[in-house]
Amino acid sequence: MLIWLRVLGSRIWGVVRRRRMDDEFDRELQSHLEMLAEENVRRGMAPEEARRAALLRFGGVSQAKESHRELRGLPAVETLAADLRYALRTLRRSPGFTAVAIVSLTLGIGANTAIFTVIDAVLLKSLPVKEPGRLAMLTDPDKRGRGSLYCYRAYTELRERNAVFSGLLARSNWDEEFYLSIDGGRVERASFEVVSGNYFAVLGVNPYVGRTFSLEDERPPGNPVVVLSYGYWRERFAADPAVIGRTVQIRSHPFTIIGVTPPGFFGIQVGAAPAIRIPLTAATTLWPPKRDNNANGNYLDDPRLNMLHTNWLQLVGRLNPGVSFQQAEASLQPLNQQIRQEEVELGNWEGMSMNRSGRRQFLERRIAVSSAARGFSRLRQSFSEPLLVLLALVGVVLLIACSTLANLLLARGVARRREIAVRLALGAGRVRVARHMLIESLVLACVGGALGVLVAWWGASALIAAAPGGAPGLVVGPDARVLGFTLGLSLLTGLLFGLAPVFQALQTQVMEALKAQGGALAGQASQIALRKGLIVLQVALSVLLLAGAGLFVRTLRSLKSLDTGLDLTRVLQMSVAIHPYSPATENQKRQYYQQLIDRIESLPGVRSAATSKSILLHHDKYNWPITVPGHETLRVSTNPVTSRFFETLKIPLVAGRAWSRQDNYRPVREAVVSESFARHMFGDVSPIGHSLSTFTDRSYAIVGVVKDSKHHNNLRQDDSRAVYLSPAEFWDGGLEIYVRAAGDPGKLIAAVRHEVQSINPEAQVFDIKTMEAQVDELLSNERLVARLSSLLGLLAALLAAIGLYGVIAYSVARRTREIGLRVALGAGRTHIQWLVLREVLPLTGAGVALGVAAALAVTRLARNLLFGVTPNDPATLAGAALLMCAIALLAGYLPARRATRVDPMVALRHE
Amino acid sequence: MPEGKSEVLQGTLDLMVLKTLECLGSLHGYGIARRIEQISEDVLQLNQGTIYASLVRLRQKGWISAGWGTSENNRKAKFYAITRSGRKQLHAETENWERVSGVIGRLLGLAR
Repeated sequence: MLIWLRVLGSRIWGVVRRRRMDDEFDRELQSHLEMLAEENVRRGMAPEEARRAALLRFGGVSQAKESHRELRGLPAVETLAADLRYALRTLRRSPGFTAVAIVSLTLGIGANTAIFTVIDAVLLKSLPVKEPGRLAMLTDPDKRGRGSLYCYRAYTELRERNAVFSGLLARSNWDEEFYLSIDGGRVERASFEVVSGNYFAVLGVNPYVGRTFSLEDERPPGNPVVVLSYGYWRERFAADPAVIGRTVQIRSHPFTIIGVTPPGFFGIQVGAAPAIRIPLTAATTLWPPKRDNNANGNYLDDPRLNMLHTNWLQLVGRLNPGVSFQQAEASLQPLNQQIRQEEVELGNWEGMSMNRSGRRQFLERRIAVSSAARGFSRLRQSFSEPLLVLLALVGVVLLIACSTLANLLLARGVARRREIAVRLALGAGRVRVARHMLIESLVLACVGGALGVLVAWWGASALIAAAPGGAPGLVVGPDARVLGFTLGLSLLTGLLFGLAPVFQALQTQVMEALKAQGGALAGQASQIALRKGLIVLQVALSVLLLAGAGLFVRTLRSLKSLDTGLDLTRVLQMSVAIHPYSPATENQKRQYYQQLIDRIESLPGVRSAATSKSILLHHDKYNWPITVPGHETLRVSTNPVTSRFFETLKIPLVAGRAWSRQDNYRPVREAVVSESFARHMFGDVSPIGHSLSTFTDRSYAIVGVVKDSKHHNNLRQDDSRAVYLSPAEFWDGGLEIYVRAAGDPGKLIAAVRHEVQSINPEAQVFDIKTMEAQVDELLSNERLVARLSSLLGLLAALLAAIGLYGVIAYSVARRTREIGLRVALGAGRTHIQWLVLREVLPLTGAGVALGVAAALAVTRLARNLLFGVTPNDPATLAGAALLMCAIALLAGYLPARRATRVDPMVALRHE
Repeated sequence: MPEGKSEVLQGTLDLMVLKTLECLGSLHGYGIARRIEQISEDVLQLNQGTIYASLVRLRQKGWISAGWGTSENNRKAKFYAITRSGRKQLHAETENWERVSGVIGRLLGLAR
């Protein structure tokens, strides 16, 4: 074994020092021959004869040299190196072609790599923790991949009594930011994650500075300590190791910083990077169960308040060695049943008792165990479909670029026929010549790929920035997998378009090529057919892309012009909250908002203002259980609002009334329902006069009905059942303020902000934007896809047009003599143009037909992404086909025009 | 009985080169070729150039070493010498050869 290593080493050295070794060997041979000659002379031969005899006795000198060359180095490597050098030389000789090829390859490969990078980061990558493959999440059998939620009691029971996990962690399932103050300094905001004590242990994450949590920290009432993320530590504390021991005030509770997590660790939610982590028992001090003037206990602000009873935790466990996911799932079912039984007996279900069917459903719920290697991701859910569509699109564009390049190479191959023929005549193997063509293509592809990595880096970052909600924790950059993808794609691309000239070279007829007069471009029939076939393919793919782009653009348009039931023009939206560690009571907060609304309404340019608990067209939605006595309990989108809400957002009242302005601030309990809710609950009977109740078991009188409107962040969803409550008991926590402006709402921002803070300096306002901007954000995915697909579609059509132009121009050049003859015989300009265009038509026609057929087959795959337009929408397909025809005709027109300017005298002399 | 030229297997040539160098010490290519021809009493008539392939192979495996020097006639030539691992290899191969030829000899009834 060692011997072969030594041999390999010598051979590699032989490659490096090849020239020197060859020279040395020459000298050695010389000396050998001379010694032989000497011996012959001693034997009595004449010097001339001696030399000849020596050569004979020696055997073949050139054979000896050749075998020496083969043995001393690595012949395969050296041939490859020689081929590469030759390829680079030939490419340098035609800089124009090389530049065009490299640019199109860079863009094509770069775009594909960019999308792949993002897909890798969002969909494929495993979490940066220890052995992510052994992590399992507890989910619903119907919703694998999205962790189901547990209450604290169920979690601790599962943790203690299971037999399949070496550790089971819990984390909060919401992204939230809290106010905090460091060492009593100014107030800031940061993102949080609330976790169990064994969170870091289960994930196998060691602290970078200080220590991380232990189960001790979780023991109730919970240790008031926090762990910082590396990014936050570096940004806010300038990576100061003395941060350990400093105090962080969160909602007037002091917490001590005990450690920092290592760089690269962001948690188990892809796309989020919480800055601070708190043990979940300690976190509940941040929302104590309220004992307020409203004696019922107020869970309404944060249903997760009472953590024992509320389902707010996602659970992830590390499987014991040797335990499979199926085994774990089977083993947990009986335990799951038991725990649910105990929950029912203890009366746990968000503080309410369950009716019988609800209880049965709860008990029958099974547990499922699926892989948590890639963590949770809201981003994945919202972004993966557009990403896959984009991947398909850029893949098609790359194919088009490949066929364009193949065409170019074929054209170039024709020009190089003599060179190839000469090489073949001199004894080069056909395979060697073909291999050389392939290496040229691969070199082009690899250079394009290398540059494409840079393009991809920029492109991936831009794409992430356009992701819904941004993605703070997502770092994209060339890593091993991405680079491997790029290399593989480059080689594949090179092979794809490189095969065409290879076939061409393999088919070269030596005699014919050598005989051909310089300039004659008699192409072989099969080659022309190949080139035409490629054009048809390009046209077809372009039509496909244009059709897709058309569909996505129309989707965007439909969504934008969708009737949301709200008038979103000229409305300003903002979130306002009293400073969290202000001692203000709920009453005082109510007074604050009252004052605020009054003041805002008195500002010049303001038509009306209102508060709202939930943010419209945002994922933050309150789905509260609404009970109508004598009817069912339904989870409905519920929103406590002040009376002018409907006026501000122009939701028309269709029956009854809303509560009065004064009633906003009195303990009046009235409700307004949406039409579809009324229809669902009461049928044709008017709901006015009935009552309903929610969490608080207080009764609200239904006084009015409004038209349906959309409130969910998914505009495509149809459920418009909603209940609006008077704000009597909902003044705590943050509120949204909606302001209708007479003119441009943007101009009011500064004035409104000023009002918020002048009344109570502890109030904070954030996220001020117009409603139109909010909707734009909602549609960011659709907009991204529409824009990119349009761009790619036009790019594809352009490439196809260039290809078409090339083929037609080539054909015209080939027929110069014929054209000259016709002109000399009296053919008119139109006739000549028609002659040329006649070649364009079948190509375009075939391509368009093929493209439309492909579109019909393929677009249905994107059905989920479309809205307001069917996948086989004839208008869009027709539009795409016509656009491509127009572009193709234009591409063919230019060489046609040039054909008419042929001077017959020149042409007839042309060979 | 000399049968004229016979084919020499590659590995066998390597073996003969090693043996030559062991007996005669440091020698140049021409010298090795001559010696092999002499020993075989001209039964083995190889093209002298072919030993260079052997020399390259043996050198790559580390069984011989090489260096430039001057010959008896004050000519510059490349000299080869056997190395320690070369000696080991030679002895192993020789043993192997003897054992194999012994067996074959017995089979063919040549041993007396």
